[in-house]
Amino acid sequence: MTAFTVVVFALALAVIAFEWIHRTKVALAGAGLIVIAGAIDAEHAIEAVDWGTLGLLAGMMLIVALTERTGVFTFIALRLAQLSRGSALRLTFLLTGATGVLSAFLDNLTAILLVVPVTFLIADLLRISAIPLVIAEVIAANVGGTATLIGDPPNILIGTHVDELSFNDFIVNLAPVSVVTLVATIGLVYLVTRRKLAVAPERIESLQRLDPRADMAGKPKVKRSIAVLLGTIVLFFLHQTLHLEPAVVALVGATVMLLVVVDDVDDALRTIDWSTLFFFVGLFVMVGALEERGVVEQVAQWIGDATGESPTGEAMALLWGGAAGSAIVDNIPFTAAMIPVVDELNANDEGFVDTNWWALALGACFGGNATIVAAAANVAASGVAARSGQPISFMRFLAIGLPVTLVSLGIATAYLLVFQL
Amino acid sequence: MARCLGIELVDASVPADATIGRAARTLADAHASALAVLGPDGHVIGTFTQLDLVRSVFPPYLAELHHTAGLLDDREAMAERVADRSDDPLPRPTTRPVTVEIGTSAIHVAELFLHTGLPALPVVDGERFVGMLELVAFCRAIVPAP
Repeated sequence: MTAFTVVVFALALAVIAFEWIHRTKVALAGAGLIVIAGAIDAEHAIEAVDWGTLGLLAGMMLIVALTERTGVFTFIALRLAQLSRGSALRLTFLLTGATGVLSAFLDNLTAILLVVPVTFLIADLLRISAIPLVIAEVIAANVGGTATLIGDPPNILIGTHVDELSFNDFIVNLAPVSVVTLVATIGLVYLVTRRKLAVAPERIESLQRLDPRADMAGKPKVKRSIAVLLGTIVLFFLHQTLHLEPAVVALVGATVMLLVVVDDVDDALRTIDWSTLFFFVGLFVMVGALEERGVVEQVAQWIGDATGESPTGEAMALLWGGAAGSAIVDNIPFTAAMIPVVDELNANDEGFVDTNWWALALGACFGGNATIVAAAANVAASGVAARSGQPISFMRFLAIGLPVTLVSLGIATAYLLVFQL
Repeated sequence: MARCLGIELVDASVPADATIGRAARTLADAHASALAVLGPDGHVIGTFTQLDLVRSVFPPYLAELHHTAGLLDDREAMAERVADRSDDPLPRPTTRPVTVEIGTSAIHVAELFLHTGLPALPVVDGERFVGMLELVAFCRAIVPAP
């Protein structure tokens, strides 16, 4: 039964990585097979689902989708593009900086879906190639999302699983290294692609003639939506003090949004990405079965043996192994599978030690930059680009993503060695 | 001209290998909101609507944007795009075409208009295309003028 569980999980990972079948279908089919075969009973399968993660995701999806309707994010992107005054350097850093911040406080997938279509518009106006900017934004989204508990699905999985880690812990331990990595990696992307971003002087005026405020002016309840979003972010900073789980904060924010902004509740609830939530349900059940069958304990044992149970060795294995795993398969299932492994590795520690969690978060999030399939944000950007008639090939992304990942892992290694170990 | 439910149908169709430019001219000449795309054997294999025309000549990323009130028209780029796209072939139909049998009921036609969102439906007699049933004409027929 253990071998069957491992084979089903490995097959599911492969099918998800190659996008042969929609990932939600794969996760639910894998979970169904495993439960029907008896690798995990129904009661334990339901217990394996991390309802905190689902609540956090659903709440934030609702808040962000309803705030998006106000046009505030388009306003920000267009205004920043105008502030660049046609300078490729300023344009790159302003757009990617905004993507990084949006990614940290919304989530990286949402940030990409908000920023990338506007980037195509800006590039069209300036008669430059949008693809270098889009690739830089994907990288910024993955790096920016690393900075907070809610920024990237691997962090959401870790943050909702480990009660000792608060929203502020993520910011204190991951935001500084994320900012340094963002500047370094976007600088690298700019150096490689700057020739494609040169703007003809006569095109700059077309950008300045845009009116970024026009859409917000006509939208009702703009101030209320933005206030609820900002209030929710403030609550995240205070959640430990207030003894509120992150999922509770997100769901309270979503409920307030429904109360003060929404007229048609059914229409609002349709903005939740149910496919992603069901993907997570299937994933949690499969990982629960791996735990139940002792596979997780075995993997932790191998890592412990290979690293001589040295804290430095374990952290490096999680960072680099996490990045490699995330680069090959989607970083969400990979992190879900690695969380119980880290639990096992930490089991012998005296007191709570957070280093391995930061190593896993950095590895999984930064590894998401290596290939076009490594993170949900990459896949989403690739989809928008294809629909916009400018597809990003696997190799084109890899040519930039792989060096960027190696640079970011180098920075993360130095950070862990100097500040965490 | 053929009729369906007593409504005069619009003769608007193009072969599958037609260009977007030809489809646009056919729409305009026939005052149609949609036309039938016909396969080599004359069967309906899809529809091409005014919305498809808009989709074809405006930048594809427009469908991903929701806040465009502050944008200004880039007439130069628009003219270039229309010229570029005019000779492009029609997009290949990806779903089975929705058609209406010539002897069908008004309630079935109403249901198809509601569920497809199409502004006109191709009417067939067996497998032979006979004309487009315009939504506006259907509305005029079911709500008699005072």
